[in-house]
Amino acid sequence: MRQVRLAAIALAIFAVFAIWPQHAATQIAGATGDLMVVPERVEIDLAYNGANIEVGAEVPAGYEAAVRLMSRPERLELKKLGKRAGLLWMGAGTVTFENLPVVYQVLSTAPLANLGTPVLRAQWMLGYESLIPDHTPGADLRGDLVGLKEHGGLFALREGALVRRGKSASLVAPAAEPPQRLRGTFRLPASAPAGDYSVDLIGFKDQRAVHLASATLHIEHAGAVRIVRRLALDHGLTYGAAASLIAIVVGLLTGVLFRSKSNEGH
Amino acid sequence: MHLYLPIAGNSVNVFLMIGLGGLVGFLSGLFGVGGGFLMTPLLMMYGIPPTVAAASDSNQIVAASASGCYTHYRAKTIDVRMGVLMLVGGIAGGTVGVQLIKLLRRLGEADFAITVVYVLMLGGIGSYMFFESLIALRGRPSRAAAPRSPMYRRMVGALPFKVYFPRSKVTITALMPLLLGTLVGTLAAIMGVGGGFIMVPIMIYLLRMPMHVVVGTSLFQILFTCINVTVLQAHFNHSVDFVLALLLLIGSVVGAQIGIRIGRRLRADQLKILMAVLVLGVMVKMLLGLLLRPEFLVAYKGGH
Repeated sequence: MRQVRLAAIALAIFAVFAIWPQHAATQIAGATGDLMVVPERVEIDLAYNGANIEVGAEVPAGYEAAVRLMSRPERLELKKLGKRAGLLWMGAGTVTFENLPVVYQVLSTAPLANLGTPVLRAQWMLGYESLIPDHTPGADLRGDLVGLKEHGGLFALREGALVRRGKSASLVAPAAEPPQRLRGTFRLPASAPAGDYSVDLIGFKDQRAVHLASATLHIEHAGAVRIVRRLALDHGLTYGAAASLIAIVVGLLTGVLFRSKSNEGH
Repeated sequence: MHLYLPIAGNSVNVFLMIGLGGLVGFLSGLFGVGGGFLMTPLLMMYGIPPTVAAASDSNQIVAASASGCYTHYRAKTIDVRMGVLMLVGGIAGGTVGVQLIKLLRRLGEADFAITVVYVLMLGGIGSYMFFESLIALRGRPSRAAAPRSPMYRRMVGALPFKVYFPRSKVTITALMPLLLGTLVGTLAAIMGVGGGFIMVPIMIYLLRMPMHVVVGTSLFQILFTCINVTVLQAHFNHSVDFVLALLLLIGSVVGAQIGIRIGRRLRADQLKILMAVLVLGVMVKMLLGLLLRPEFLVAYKGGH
């Protein structure tokens, strides 16, 4: 009995040692960074036409880095298009993607493929393969989904768009190599929904990765946009009746106006 | 200059939307069609969610058709009696159509069947109108002007509830506009469009109404149908974007007036041939959409 227990303990210790180094190899202890998002809050009013979100980052010397901006993951159901009767392209069922953010953008200092292994990139959700892994439903339509999202500006992978801005003047560790300053810009389309977006800075060195810093971007409705939305969502019937009434009045007024103009002409 | 649309959740170019409204309003005034078959796909191409595009389009059609109706009412080119009968039939048909589409979808092949029937129907109506008007423009008597076949006359003549429609100068059974309205309402609900360009040829060829009364009466019917759709969409789906509708209607009410004025200067056969070209154009566009491989094999759901 005692021998069995000892064997079990030995096996457990072996298992921990067998697994631990692999996991540890993807992490870097002690590395720190800084991330700044400007603006941190975006208000959607009637004049809103999307926003440029500037990110400034500080990463340790010798690191490559990526900044990932994404909205909260949710369920997305899309119409699948296929060929019917061997001739006509039309709706051929639906495809559902679970836990997919509406907005997903990445800026990086180098091509993502150079930053780490596919497993490492998947762990940090960098790249479209990590969003829709091969074994998940709809993975065969990944390219089409990404194309649709990129077409609308909601998805973007901008490799090399996180650029170095020289060495930092930080005096935190004067003896060591000073950290690098990075800068990049996310372009959010007007169709990006309101909500909280997570922004994460991930550093890479020697096929290992570390989460260096994070920030939150708040997008919210404001002014007339908020009022109209509240009316439409909370008082739909009144809103619909008012919209129809206004349309009728505008239509009739234009009719009267054109009639009087036409009479003047005679 | 851009404006953010609160319900669509996207921004649009103000002048482009007003121009788009103007173009569709022009067609509405000229032919008596709502223009949803043209406007909704254009809005979707611009990035407006399909459900919002369809619902907001209904809202702007209310303005364009109200503007057109006023002018036609003053010109006494609306057959209110005929319009009300068709409207009653249309609302009943719409209700039936909504249930029918649910049933067809459950059976599986509904989308395929509907699209094929739609393209064939547009092709048939458009071609018939085109060649019939072409013959008339060349000075030969058109088949529409010629007396109907004895069988058709016997069938229609045997129906009860005959009514004289003074504005259209026809005596037919009240069941005809009611049943045809129901048919168009059902088709419109199944196809997801207002049905103006199905209704107009039916009024010309089956009810034998004069072309200018057809346009006014069609607009009259479209006005009430679209008010109904706007209120229902706003109440149940929250998909009416009034800011978008406002931009579109600024253009469409002006466009509708220009369309009506140009329509008055054209002969009935000229109007019909233009309408035929429009119907055939829509058919070709739909056909190309079916035959050409789409850029992406997934699409957002909803809309027409």
